[in-house]
Amino acid sequence: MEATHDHAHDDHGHHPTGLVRYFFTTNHKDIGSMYLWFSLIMFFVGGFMALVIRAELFQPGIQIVNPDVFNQLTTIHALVMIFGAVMPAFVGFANWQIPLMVGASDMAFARMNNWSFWLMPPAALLLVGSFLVPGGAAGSGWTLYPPLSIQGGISVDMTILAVHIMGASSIMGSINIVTTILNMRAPGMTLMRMPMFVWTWLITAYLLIAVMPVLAGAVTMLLTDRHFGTHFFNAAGGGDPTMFMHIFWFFGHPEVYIMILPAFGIISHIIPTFARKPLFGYASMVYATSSIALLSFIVWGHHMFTVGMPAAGNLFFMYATMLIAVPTGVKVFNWIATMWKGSMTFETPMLFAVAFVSLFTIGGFSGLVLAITPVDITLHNTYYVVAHFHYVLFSGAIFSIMGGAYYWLPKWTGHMYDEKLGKVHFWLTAISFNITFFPQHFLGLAGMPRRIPDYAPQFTEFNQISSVGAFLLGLSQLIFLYVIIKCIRGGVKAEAKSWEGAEGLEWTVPSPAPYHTFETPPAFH
Amino acid sequence: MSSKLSLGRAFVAVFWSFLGIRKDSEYQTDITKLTIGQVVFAGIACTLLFIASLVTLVYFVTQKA
Repeated sequence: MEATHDHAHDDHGHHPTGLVRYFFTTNHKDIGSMYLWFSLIMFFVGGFMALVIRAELFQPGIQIVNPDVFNQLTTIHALVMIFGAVMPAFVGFANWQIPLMVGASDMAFARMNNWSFWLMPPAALLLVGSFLVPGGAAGSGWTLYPPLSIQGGISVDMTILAVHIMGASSIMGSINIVTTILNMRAPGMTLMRMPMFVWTWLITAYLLIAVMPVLAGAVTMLLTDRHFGTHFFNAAGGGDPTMFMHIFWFFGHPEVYIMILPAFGIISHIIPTFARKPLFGYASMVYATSSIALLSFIVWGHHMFTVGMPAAGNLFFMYATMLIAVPTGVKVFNWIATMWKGSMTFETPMLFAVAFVSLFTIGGFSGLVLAITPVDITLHNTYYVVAHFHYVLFSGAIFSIMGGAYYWLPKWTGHMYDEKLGKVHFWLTAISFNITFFPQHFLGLAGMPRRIPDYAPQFTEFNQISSVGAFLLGLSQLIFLYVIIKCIRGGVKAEAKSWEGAEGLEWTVPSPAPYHTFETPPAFH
Repeated sequence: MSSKLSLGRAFVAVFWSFLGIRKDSEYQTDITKLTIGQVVFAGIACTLLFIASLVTLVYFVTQKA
C-alpha cells in the first residue's frame, strides 16, 4: 500500500491562531484534538467522582458524603464517563484518523463537525454544574428510571437537556462519519479494503443514528411527564414505568456496542502492527462486527430480567444474548491468530492491546454469566454487574483508547512518546485495574448491592482492596497526562511510518501530520 | 450471474457471517459478485429470520413446560 502525494506545500495552513483558531476551526485534526482533550478532562472529572465513591466505600457506615450525594455521584460519574469521556474519545479518534485512513482531505461536513464538538462543553457544564443547584445533581442512576427521575429537582431537567444536546452532537458526528466514509475514500479503496477502524466506525455511526433518537424520545417523554401533565411513565396517572425501561434499553444496549466497536477497530490495527502480520480474517472481522451490531438491537431485555417479563420473553432475550458470544468469540480468535507466530514486540500500545484481549474476554464471560436469566435474577443490581461492565468498559473501551493514543501520538505530535513512562503507566493501570474491579465479582456473588453508600461489615475487606486499587488506578492516570504533554512538547522525532509494522495511508504522510493532507486523493494500491 | 442467484449468494454469505467465517475462495467471489444493497437486504432479512427462529424455539420450550 502506498500513497503518491506531494506534501511540500501542505504546511501553510491559513488558519487563525490562538483561541479563535479552536472556536472557528473546520479542520478535522483540530477538532479531533479538541474531542480528545475534552474526553481526557471529562475522564479526570468522572474519575474524581469515582474516587469519592470508593473513599466512601472504604469502610462501612457513612463517612464522607451523605446518601443523596452518593447517588448523585454514581449517576453523574456514569453519564460523564459514557457521554463525556468514552464516546467523545472515539469521535476524536474518528476525526483524526478516518480522513487520514481513507485518504480524504477532511470530514465531509466540516462546519457541522465544528458544531458537533462545540455542543459538548455546554452539555458537560449542565451535567457537572447540576451539583450546584438546589437539591443537588440527578440521583436516579444514569438510566434515569422513573419514578425517581420524575420526582427529582431541576437537576434532572439539566441532565435531560445535557443528554439531548450530546445526542444531537452524536447524530451530527455520525452523519459526518458515514458521509465521509461512503463518499470520500481514495480511488481504489473499496469497502472490503477499508481499514478495520473505519469499518467499525461506519457500523457504529449507523448504530448511533438508529438509537440516539430513541433516547431523545424517552427523555422527552420524561420531560413532559415532569412538566406538561402527561403520564407516559407515571403509574398514578395510568402510565407504565416499565415502558421507560424498554425504551431506554432499546437505546442502551446498542450504546454498549457503540462504546466497544471502535475499540475493536483500534485493537485490530495495533495487534497486526506489533505482531508484524496482517490481521487474521479481515473479512470475518467485518462480518462479526456487522453481526454484533444487528444482534445488539434484539437483546435489550437482558437488562430487565427482574421486572416481571413473561418466561417466553426472558428466554428469548437469554438465547439472543448468549449468541452474541459467537461473533465476539470470532474476533478474539482472530486477534490471537494474528499474534500467533508473529514477530511480536511489546511497546506500550501492544501491551494495552494484549491486556484488552485478555481482560475484555473476562468481561465478556461475566456478561455471559449474567445473560443466564436465573443467574441474573440472583446477581441483578449487585457488584457483580459493576465488575462486569467495568471489565468491558474500562479494560475494554478505555484500554483501547489509551493503546490507540500511544499508537497514534507520534503521528499527531511528530514525537515519539516516552516508552519507559508509557510502560510504567500501562503496568500500574493494568495491575490497579484488576485490584479495583476483580474483588467486586466476589462482593457481588456475596450479595452486596450496587449504588449504596453503606454496607454490611462482612463486605469490608474486599471493599478496602477495591478502594486502594481505585486510588492507585486514578493516580496512575496522571502519568498518562504527563506522557502526553511531554510528547507534545518534544522528544525523539517520529518518522512518517512511526512503527515498523504499521500499514495504512496515515503512515504515508509526514509526522506530525501536516495541517492539510490529501488535498489530492492518494493512489491506493 | 443473474441477480436472483446473486441474492441467493448474499443470503449464503450473510449466513456464514453470523458464524463469522467464510472460505477465502468463496469470499473472493462474494466481493466481485455481490452489491452492498444485496448484502444489506440479506442481512436484515436474515436478522428477522433469526428472531423468528428464536421465538419459535422459545415457543416450543415453553410449551413443554
